[in-house]
Amino acid sequence: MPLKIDTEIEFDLEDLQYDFEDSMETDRWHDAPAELKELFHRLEWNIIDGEHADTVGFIDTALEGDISARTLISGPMATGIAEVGRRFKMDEYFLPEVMMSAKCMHEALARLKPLILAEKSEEVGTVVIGTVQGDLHDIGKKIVAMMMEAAGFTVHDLGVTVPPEKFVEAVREHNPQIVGFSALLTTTMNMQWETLKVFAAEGLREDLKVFVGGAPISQAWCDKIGADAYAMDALVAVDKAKACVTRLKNLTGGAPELHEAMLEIDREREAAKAAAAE
Amino acid sequence: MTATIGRAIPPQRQRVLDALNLKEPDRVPIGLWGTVEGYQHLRRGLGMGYNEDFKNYRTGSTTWTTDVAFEADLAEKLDVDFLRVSIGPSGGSPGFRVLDLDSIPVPLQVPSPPDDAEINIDEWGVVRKWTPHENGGYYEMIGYPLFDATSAPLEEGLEILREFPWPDPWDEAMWQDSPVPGMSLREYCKYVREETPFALMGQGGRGGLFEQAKYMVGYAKIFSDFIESPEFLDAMLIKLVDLEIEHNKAFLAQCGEYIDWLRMSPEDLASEKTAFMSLPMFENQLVPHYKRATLATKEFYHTKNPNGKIQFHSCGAIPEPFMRHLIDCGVDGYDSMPPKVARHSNPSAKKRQLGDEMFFYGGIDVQETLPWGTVEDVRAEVRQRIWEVGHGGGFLLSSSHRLEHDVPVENTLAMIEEAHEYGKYPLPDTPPEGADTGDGYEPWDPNPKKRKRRPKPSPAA
Repeated sequence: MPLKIDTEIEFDLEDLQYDFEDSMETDRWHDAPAELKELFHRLEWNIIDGEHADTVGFIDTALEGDISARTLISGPMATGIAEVGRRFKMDEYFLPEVMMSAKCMHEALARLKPLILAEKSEEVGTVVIGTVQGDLHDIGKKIVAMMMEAAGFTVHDLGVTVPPEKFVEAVREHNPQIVGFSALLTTTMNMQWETLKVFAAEGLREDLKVFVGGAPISQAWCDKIGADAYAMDALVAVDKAKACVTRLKNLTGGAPELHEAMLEIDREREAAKAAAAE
Repeated sequence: MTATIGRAIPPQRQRVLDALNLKEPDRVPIGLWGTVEGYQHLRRGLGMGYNEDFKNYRTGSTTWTTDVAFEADLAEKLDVDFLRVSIGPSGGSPGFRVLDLDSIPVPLQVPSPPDDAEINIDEWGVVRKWTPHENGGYYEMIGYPLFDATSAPLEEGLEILREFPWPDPWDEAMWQDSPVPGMSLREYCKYVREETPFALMGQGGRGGLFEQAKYMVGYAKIFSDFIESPEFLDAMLIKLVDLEIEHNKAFLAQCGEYIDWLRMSPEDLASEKTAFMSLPMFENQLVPHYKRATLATKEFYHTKNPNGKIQFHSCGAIPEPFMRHLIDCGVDGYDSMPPKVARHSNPSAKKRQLGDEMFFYGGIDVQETLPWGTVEDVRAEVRQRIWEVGHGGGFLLSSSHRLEHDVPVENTLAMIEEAHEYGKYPLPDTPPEGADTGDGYEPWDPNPKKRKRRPKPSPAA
């Protein structure tokens, strides 16, 4: 039985803006044994520093310590890459540094993927996901896919620059409840819309809950093109996806009630955040 | 003052020369810049004859989509002030010289299967797939010849650089024809100078430095290579600089005396938010290359045209410290002034920061206003931009990137008409509605928050 460790993530991890020693002094993962706590912090800093040659070593050490893949992904890997994202946003990191950290994530995810698949206990639902045609961005979509997988979904990741007909084909083959379109460019986001139109034309729209995400994507864009849910990050995507296959499973794709329920999840998160801040 | 042969400088060219020399002309000079499809769309809309075969144009660059030269009859009809011309293979080619796959000494990253699409290898060894859209198409880059070379052992990588079949800058096929059928490049440039009233901007480079490096290595990988393979990257950039200089020289040797200003091969250094790389990385790994390319080009150019200016292109929001380095490298002007970028580097900020030192080209938004805005939106933006950038001269108005086929003809016409009307000097002091006057502006911070250890809670607490 893998160790159960609290990986509840708060993304304002101020200590990660300083250094390893500082982050060690926080009480994050206080419920883990001391050497694992240190390992988690080292893994965070490995990702922040982009030292990808060492990443798998940390992952393997953690796995030997009976830590689950899911804990690693939603724990130190998520906090490490979140700090990279924060630095990028603040012009402290630029693309070269981000690409190095991305390599760490790719290495780690490649190592963990088979374990995630093996670890999955219950079948929650099926997701087809891909980056739309013309767009080569991979990592954000990959993280969403992995987090969905970690949450128990069967995920069919179609990769990058996926043409609409490939999405349609995959939907016919795998019968997912959810399909996710990723786009990282203003020049490719329109392809989300185009792909959605193809789904409608093929008569598949009502059977599917359509998620959109990516840097230029917003709730307003989601509303404009008539997608069901916008997810600002992987965790929100997982939350909304879970709701879609449980309490909202009887709602059809494109239904206004579904759209409203998705917005309600955002409002609840905001409210919880505000409450926590007080 | 630029010498003229046997006649006064026509007003169109004069206002361009004034703007380039940071003097106020009689009005803001205007030019057009577009893709083949955008060009066809405009001529069709104006009821002018045009070549309908979008694959049979003389285009001039190896970037994603290609520039087409706007012909003098269109410039006359629309009353604009300058034309653009570039070196390039003759019409009917894909805009680049096509290489034989077998001549590339390294395995190309051709995604398999390459289906039955039209696949070409451009003159740099970049694999291009013809990608049609409803109005034409472009050659998408799908394979990067030096993708593996950057991560090979250094000696091996350098050997690949030595063996690589680099393009020949002095290939005579590149100046045999021009936008006017039957004229060589040199004849065309002479014709524009002597028989039309227009100023002429030229482009001789075929790929550029950082930009071409991206195409050779691949978009994602090039960025981590700045950290992981700096020696290889440096060697590759040295080669690319050599070629940029030689391409420019070959072009200028043909027509340098007729070229009023030269555009270096386009670079992209920034996203819409900020630079692609940190300032120290830019200073250490790119600036020396830009400096060598620009200064050597300029030195040769000035033997042909002692007043010739150098223009540098980047999309995105290049922060001021980066721009200052470019000025130190010998850059005189900057395009394309995309307006909808981070405010620290928008056109208004650029003018306030650098307006005494360089001229600006472009500025009218192609992302929303021109394709999707109303005629009144376009006119309002033209007024804003002219007010923001035009004071003191130094502004050449154009679209902020290539005009594409989705720009309604009436919007292009509105852009030109409004510039004719509002762009007359002296410009008003009072800002037009919506202009960025600089109120509340915050400069880009080159020194992000210094990391300080947090104060430790005292043991007593």
